[in-house]
Amino acid sequence: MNCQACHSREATVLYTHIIESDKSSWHFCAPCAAQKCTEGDSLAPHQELGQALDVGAQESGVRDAPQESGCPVCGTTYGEIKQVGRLGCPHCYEVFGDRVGQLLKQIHGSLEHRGKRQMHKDLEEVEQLRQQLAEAVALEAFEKAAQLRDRIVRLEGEAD
Amino acid sequence: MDLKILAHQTASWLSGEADMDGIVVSCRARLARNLNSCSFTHRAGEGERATVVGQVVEATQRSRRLAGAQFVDMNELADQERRLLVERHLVSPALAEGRGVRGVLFSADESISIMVNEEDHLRLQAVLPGLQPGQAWNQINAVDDALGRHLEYAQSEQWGYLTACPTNTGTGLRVSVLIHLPGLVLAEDMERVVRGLTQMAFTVRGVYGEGTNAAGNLFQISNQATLGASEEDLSEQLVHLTRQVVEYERDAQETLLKEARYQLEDKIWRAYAILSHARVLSSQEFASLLSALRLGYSLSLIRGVTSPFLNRLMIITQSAHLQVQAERPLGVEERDVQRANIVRQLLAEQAASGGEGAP
Repeated sequence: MNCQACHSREATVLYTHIIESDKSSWHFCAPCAAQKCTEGDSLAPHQELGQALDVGAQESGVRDAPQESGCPVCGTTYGEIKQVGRLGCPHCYEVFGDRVGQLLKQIHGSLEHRGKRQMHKDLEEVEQLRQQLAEAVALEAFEKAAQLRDRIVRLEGEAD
Repeated sequence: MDLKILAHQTASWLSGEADMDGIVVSCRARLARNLNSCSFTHRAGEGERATVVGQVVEATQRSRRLAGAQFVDMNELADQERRLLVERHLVSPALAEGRGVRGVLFSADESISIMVNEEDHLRLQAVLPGLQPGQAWNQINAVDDALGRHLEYAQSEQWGYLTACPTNTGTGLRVSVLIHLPGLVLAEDMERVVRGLTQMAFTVRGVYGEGTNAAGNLFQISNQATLGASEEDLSEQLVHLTRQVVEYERDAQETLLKEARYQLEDKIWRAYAILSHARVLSSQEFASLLSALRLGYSLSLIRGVTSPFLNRLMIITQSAHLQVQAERPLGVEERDVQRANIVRQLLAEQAASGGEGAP
């Protein structure tokens, strides 16, 4: 099922809204759910789909405390993150987006990364350049081929 | 790999280059990186940890820069050997004392090391002598580029590199200097320095000993925030702040020299005398005497005792080094005797080669 807010990502969170006796639910993806929670909706706990059954259990009085939903990838809950001081996996950052954001702001005084970014895409680029090189050679465009070859050498050569 | 060889060699970062009168010993740039497909180390099972080791080792083998580095499995080392690596600053105490599949790769000159499955999947560090954190960053950046071609790191558009602890998120970069501040300690002026640096989001902590009790007056200054500034900015800020602290330290040393020259000279020469003749030296006493000698070197009150010599003494007299050299476990008392022996012998050699003497 797709997210009912952005209609693109897969819904992983059951978002339940209760005002007095009015209760409504939506299926959201984690980023949209996080956004909903920061929109001043302090009443909005979000619950992972896998634990949706717990809602029924709570309503019928079987459970007292609502169970906090964990990261769908590693299962870490925000309570555990607070306790251990560490996130469970890279995906926790997205899952607990709003709260992690607040935390990062508190620690670093900033929320904007201004440093290096990953260059893993180099590998794909090298593949594309290789194809272009083969085409250039086939067309006997040797000047272009030499330029392409230099770029490939640079990307693969790791500058060391 | 035979780690015994390490106990007898001197790492390149102790060469004393660019050390600003023996005040700045060394600098370090450390990067935290994680693989996108695995849980962070504390949450990862043995299978996932082994996957991380496998991918990292493969990536290092494909990089020319790291091709010679061997993976040292922490689980295959004796306690003593693990501690030896800690004393040489090649691994953290956390990695040495941790559990599960984990280890380290390092270059032959010990300037580059890569811890695997520490708090983060990868902790890359470059250590250089003196005050050159920009170069340390450049070196580790090149290693990171090389590995990043083969590993898919966890990162986000907004927050940069994602780390297990949110205090490292962003650049994952910690730049630091190891700095000797006996003048500021004697003048009881460290608190002002600590406060000043804290305001600039940098921290100071004692290198040996717990908390602020810095044995040997050696401190580490490092950046606190990793999100919001670029790697180059952080390195430049560290250089700028360290230069300021070095100025304060020089002022404090000059003042001491002006106001209490004889007491100061006496303290330094007494330290030299004890180190040259003592039969028992605890690590605590040794650290404080070595600091006096280093101060003598900074103020040119002692000739021939060079900073690489002092750095070498500092490293090889640590307890795991003594035991690996002796090739057997030593009790505390034996270690103190062994430490005194080594110090005496090296100072005698230094003096015989025309070293020691008043200017």
